[in-house]
Amino acid sequence: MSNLPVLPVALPMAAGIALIFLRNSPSLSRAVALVANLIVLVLAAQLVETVRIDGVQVLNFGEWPAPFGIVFAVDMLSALMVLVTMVVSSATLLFATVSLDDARERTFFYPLFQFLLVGVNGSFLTGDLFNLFVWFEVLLISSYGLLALGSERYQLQETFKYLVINALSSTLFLIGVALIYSLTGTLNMADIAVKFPQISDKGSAGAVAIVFMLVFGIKGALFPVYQWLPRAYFAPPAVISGLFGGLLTKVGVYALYRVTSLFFVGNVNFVLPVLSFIAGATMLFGVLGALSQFDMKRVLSYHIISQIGYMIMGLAIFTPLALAGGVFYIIHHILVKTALFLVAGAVEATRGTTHLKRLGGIVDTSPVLTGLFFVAGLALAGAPPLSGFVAKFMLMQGGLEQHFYIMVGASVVTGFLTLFSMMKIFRYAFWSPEQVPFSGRGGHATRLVSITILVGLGIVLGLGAGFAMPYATIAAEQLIDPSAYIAAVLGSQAR
Amino acid sequence: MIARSVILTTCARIAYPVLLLFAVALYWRGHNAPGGGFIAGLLTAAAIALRFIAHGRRDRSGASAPFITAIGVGLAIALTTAFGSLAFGHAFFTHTFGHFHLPLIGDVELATAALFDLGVYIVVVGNVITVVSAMTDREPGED
Amino acid sequence: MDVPILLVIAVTLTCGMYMVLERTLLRVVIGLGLMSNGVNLMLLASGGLGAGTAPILHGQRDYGASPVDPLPQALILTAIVIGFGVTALLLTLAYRTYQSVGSDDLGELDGKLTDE
Repeated sequence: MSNLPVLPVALPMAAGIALIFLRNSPSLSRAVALVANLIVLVLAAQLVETVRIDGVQVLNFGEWPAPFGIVFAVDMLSALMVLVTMVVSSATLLFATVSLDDARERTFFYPLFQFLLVGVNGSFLTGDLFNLFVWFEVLLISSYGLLALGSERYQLQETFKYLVINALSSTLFLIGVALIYSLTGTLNMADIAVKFPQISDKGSAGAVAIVFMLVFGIKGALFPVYQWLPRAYFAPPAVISGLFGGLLTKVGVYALYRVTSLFFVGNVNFVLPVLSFIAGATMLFGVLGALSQFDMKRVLSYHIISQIGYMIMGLAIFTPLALAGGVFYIIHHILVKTALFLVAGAVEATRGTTHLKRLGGIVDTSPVLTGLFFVAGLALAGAPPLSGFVAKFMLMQGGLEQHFYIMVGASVVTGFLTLFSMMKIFRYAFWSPEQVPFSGRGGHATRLVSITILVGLGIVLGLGAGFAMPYATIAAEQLIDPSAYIAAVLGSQAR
Repeated sequence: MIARSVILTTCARIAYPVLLLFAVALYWRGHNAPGGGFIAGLLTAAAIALRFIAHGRRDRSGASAPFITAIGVGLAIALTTAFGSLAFGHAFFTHTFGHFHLPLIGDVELATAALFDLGVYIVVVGNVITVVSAMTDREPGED
Repeated sequence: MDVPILLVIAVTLTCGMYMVLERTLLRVVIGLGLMSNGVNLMLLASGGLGAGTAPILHGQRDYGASPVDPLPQALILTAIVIGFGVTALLLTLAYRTYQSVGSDDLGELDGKLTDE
């Protein structure tokens, strides 16, 4: 039994606690937070390698055997998600150290940031349904704090709405937990996967599926319950919206992948067709929303929604190829979307606004930033040879093989509209002459470094897809055939 | 905080130590029976809040800072007990217990889980008092 | 036993949802509190209702005839603690929002300031 799976949760927690004591010394806080993040990053990479070599890793908390105690179960999808979380959070943290104002730094930004990571990593690693609820709450409570940080009027009112929406979806989550417990008598996800097919009452099983699709649909901003996202993500500084846009909705998507593959596929007939409809609708409505916006952060927020549609597309098709594409897409999206938000943050820091009609001429003042945006925008739209292309190609091929022509059509249309929307930002904000005379300082080098890391990884993922693909394929195979996952969790009773 | 009720202050003075003692009893009982760190913490926080209401607070600015630190201390204690098992080569959060014979009290069962509960207790007290202060520190319109 | 608790759950959740849909900040908070209590009852019901001894070993060696399922109670306890934290946060946030907006009407939060 190795304690490695718990460290991506426990270490950020320890760092968060230490940072509470260090709250009055921003410089020390930055150093501690960065070092802690990098350590966990290394551990996460080690976790990915361990899972690749040794298979699913399981940790029984307090050495209570599997269906009774709480377990952490790490398969390839979990490990990859933790790794990419740590990469993105490290880059975001680097960006935050040079772009947050002093007041925000002192009011618990760093502790909340670490506790957010605790919640995100915990959600990815846990193998227990109720524990998943708890980690969701940990990350949500931290996110409420981060959203409201600074207490500007707009932030407060948007945080209130975000909180109410999420509290409602948490209530639904508990209803789902209660239903599953009364049907199967267990909350261990592997154990549920064994017992779910034995439920005689198919109607109740369908009800469980509906509740969980709704819960994770709200958390992951799927059609038709995505309206909370654009306004909430517009409110805070771009560093925080970047982290949220990259990570938080993906926790919902991850949970949907997990429960769908473990419980519902093969047991509840309507789940995959409904998901395929949702995927197409999410893509189209998200991108149409983005087209109607004229603010960089709002456009990017709507694009989060449309791209979540692609991830759900991979899940809805449910073949090894499409699932690998979906996993690849999630990783690509987290990296690139965060990079784009950070670009918006750099623009906001120098120009004081992200509204497209008040920007312009950034290509003259900071050509590097312009280049970074151009590459990241193309990656988001799926231009070869960048990461988005590989992911979309796999998704579309998987869709065509299974004759999902309408959904593939929707994804092609969405891809073109995304490209259009990225070029709109590029033309207005970066390429066109200045619309409002601007006389300010240039960008901060550290900001560019953190964006470059993310964009660079996007390029590497695209060009080096051959290197990255085996990991996504392993994750997809484990999702399709969860028997290894179940055996690893429940088999440890015997040990 | 101008008009102070004599009845409330007198009652609060008597109730305060009783509540604290009851909280200690609840905490101690919590090991094997209903009770424990969380409700003991809530009770202590309620006692402190009662004192705030009855007596007012002399220094109203920054008074919640020690309680915020208390949250950190409590979390640190709780997490340390979880990490402790790693040092002995066990899984995270593995707890143990032992029986000790203390003079006057007799046979006492001490468990590492009680330390975790102590952390919970401190976190709850710090948290509730911070929330109460946040809601009472400012007059309407004052920022 | 099933039908009464079902009715209680249904009424609590309905009242909570009704309050959440109100326009006043405080009523929304109260509504969420009610809903979380309704769900806690639902968790309680999920373990099966019926007479049984407390599942606590206190000196004895066994639980007696039929202990009740302790897990839903542990879940409820956790849910209560989380609900407590969220409610505290909601109240503080509602209070701060009221201070900075100067109104506790959710409709007025969507003023001209919010959208360009």
